[in-house]
Amino acid sequence: MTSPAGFEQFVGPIAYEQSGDDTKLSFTIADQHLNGDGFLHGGMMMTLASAVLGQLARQSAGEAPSAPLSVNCDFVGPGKPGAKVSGTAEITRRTRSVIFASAELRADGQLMMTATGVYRIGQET
Amino acid sequence: MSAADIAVPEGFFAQELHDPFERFVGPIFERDEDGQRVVAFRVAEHHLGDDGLVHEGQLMTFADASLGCTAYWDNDHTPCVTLSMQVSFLAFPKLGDLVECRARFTRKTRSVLFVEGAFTVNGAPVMSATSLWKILGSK
Repeated sequence: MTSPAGFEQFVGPIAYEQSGDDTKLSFTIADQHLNGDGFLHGGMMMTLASAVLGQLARQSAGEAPSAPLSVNCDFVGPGKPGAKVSGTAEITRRTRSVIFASAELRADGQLMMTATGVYRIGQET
Repeated sequence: MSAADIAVPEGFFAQELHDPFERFVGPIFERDEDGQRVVAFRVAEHHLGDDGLVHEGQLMTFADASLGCTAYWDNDHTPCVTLSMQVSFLAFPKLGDLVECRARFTRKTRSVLFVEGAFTVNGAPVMSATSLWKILGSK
């Protein structure tokens, strides 16, 4: 289990909640998270998406280092100020060298973003 | 180094940011390069993850902001929102690096814009992104 530090602490803080093998990441939409139209900024959505995908990849990689190769985010719905945003992820496939994962972000239960990520296991060669 | 302490790089100007989240994570700079808009940010302490590398959330936030400049400013200031963003991480910028983005339209339809961007540090590729934008008010 990773505790949030650095950027995740700065922009959130993003809370990590462990239940069995699953980790849920969440934050509440505050003024500094908004875009010019008063909704949650896409960058903050993608930050939570990459955080929940990345922590699952690290967990799946175990002792080996992992690093993101690619992250894809689809903006399915808006996030309103004050809403609680939570993100969960699952492994789609794991090979010797690569992890495929997908994530879902919800704002007060409403689907807001779907995302997938591909992660490298081990050192860059 | 907090967001307010990041100096404007030589040859750039600081963009006037309208999105609170973009102001919060730090300044975005811009310059013109023979008609090509170059958008940039300087990697600061608060952009790093607990592994000491730039957090991909910051890189994707910058991708959203910089590709959004092209989608909005280079399309007659027509309001639009991000539909989809695909990012490949080629190398991770380090503390103090100036990350530059050069973006362009790959296709424009009545309702959707296709924008791609190449991201570099000192000319070396660090990230590539493709994105889709919905033009607001279009069907």
